[in-house]
Amino acid sequence: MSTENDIAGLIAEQLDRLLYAELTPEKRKSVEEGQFDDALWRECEALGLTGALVSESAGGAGLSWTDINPSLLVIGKHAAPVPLGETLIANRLLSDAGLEMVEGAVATGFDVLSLQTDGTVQGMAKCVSWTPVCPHTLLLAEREGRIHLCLMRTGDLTLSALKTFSREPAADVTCNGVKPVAIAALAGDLSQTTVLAHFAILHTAQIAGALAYILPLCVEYANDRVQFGRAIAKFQAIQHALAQLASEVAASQAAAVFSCGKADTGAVEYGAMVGMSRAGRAATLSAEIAHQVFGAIGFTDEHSLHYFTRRLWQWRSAAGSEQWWSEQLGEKIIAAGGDALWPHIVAA
Amino acid sequence: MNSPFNFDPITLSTAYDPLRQEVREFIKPFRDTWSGWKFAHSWGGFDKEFSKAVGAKGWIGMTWPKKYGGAERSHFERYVVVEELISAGAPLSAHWVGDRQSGPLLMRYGREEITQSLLPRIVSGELTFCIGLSEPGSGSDLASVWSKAEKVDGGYRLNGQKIWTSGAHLSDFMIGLFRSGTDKDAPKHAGLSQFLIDMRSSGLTVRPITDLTGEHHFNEVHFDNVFVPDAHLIGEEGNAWQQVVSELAFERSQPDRFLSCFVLLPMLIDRLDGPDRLAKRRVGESVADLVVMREMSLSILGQLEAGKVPAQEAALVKDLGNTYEQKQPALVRELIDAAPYIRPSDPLSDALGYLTQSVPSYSLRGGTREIMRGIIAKGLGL
Repeated sequence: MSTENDIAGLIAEQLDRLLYAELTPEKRKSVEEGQFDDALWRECEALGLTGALVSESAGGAGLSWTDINPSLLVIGKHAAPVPLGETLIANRLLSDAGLEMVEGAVATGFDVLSLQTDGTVQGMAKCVSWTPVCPHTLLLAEREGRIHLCLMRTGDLTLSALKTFSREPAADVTCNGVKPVAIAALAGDLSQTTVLAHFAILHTAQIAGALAYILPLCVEYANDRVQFGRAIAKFQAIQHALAQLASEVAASQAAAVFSCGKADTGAVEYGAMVGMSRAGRAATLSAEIAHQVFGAIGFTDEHSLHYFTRRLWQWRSAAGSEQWWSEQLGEKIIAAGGDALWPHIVAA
Repeated sequence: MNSPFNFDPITLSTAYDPLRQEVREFIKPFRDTWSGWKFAHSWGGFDKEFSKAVGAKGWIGMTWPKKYGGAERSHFERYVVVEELISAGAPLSAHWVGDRQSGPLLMRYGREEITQSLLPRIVSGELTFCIGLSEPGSGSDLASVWSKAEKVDGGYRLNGQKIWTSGAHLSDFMIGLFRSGTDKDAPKHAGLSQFLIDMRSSGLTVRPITDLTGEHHFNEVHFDNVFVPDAHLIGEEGNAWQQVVSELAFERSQPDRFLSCFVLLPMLIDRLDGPDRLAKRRVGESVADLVVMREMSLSILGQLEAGKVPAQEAALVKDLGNTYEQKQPALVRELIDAAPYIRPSDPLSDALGYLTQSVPSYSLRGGTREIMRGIIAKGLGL
């Protein structure tokens, strides 16, 4: 356990150093303008994170969600413009279904398409993040009530590019009778919602990471910016706004830890419900506070704040919104009845 | 990552599950007799017989040394007992202050003979404590208290007034904060001392203050030449500020800071008739908030067990917790379109009636929201 923790901690540190050294505002901008940074991707891939959640016997690092949470936070903290988290989850899904993990970046669609009797896939998956720059795209397709994971060559698909809040590449994916390069039924206890939940947990951690970056940024700015003859940090209104921001940051971190812990015990969906419900709302409130503290300068293209707040707006909705996951949680809780609530909370 | 706060996770061992079950079984027969209005008071409710029953189970002072009547159990076991009691709406105030605050304070700073004589009686549920901090001119600005302790032969003479003292009229002892220093130029945090005060002392008068719910919980306490013996000085003379501050990390992060309205939630769930998307979403949000807050609270407990003083984290959990508690009556109101009258025969209406009126005090007691946010901001380096 401790060795795995050490390895995971080391990877998170290396990733942090790498992104710190490599990522400039110009680079973020050029990715958002459509220039994917292949070199950065390859360096990230070389750290071994893309197979982090895949067992060692299947060629991965055999780490747990809890082990890699620090790395996911780092991805969020740097608003890293690479599909690292997305790829490591896709590889986990592939390996859980008994398929080989793949080289290179993998995007995943959440809609369920149709798997034809001739083994080809038909239909459309909406808003697939990163697919325009990923050699492979993982799609879900159903035949006779069973959902299959279908690994597709992205080049075989028809993409209709989408504008996203993060300005990272995404597309609606149409699949017209294309044969997957690999296919397997989802493991028995997995559903479309479970697949989605994996990504909701990723985004929960990314939100926590981005917020952990935004907080000190706001504190530093409030201490530096002078109005009415004193630093705005001296104004109680600003202090209290930032205290509230700190509470949201802390809660999102706790939510990320909790949801990773749940994913490790097989309760991926429950982890996503609690994690995204809490972190998604933290993202919304925190972005509001940060922009208020930064004033007009934080609203400019030139300032880096929006690279983070736009991602908060992306991640809170990209794999089921905080409202949608709250609804799933509420439905489950209400169905179980009032007497079951407290035992559920302490057992959860 | 560098962070201005730490919430390393703690997992409660399943070894405590039988204890949890025992608390649930213990409370059930009581719970069945409580009205909605009563269990809505939760830990703020006063019921000496109930407290004695809790004491008889060994659940007061349960972390304390055996020589003081304690059970030497872990803080995690205490947490399990406390969260089970509070979530069920159990009235704890007859022993709460003694168990949570005054007992630990006496163990840390009190004279051994006092500790030995009083703590076993806290443990049995017999003794009730109150805390004398606020004064008419000293609320959030606590260090400005002016009630005086004057050194006299064999002890101190107390003069002045406390206000908003919860349960003073039902208490056996007060832990009171008084100004003992006479140096006018000293910083105002210096020169404060804490005393153990017998509420039956001559010269001490308790006057009720009825609160907006129509009930009598807090009081004015007047001191007119009240004598306390030397042995009742707690800790060092003039050092009370440090002593008070060190109690707070514990006080501010426990389940009583976010579960005060919990009793509403199960009743709300059972009242929802064909819940729509809005109801599901709101209930889901409330549960997610609670689950995450409990994780944060447990993390603080783990840090306290490890000998740290997570004051920032505690202020943060209290602020989040009070805000959460205060939203719950509004949540019920929104989802069941509650009418503005109180029907005692309906436990949900009865509980909602009390809590709607009671929640404004939650972000006042134990340090206001503004004080908490000030502490957090300071910790951020603003």
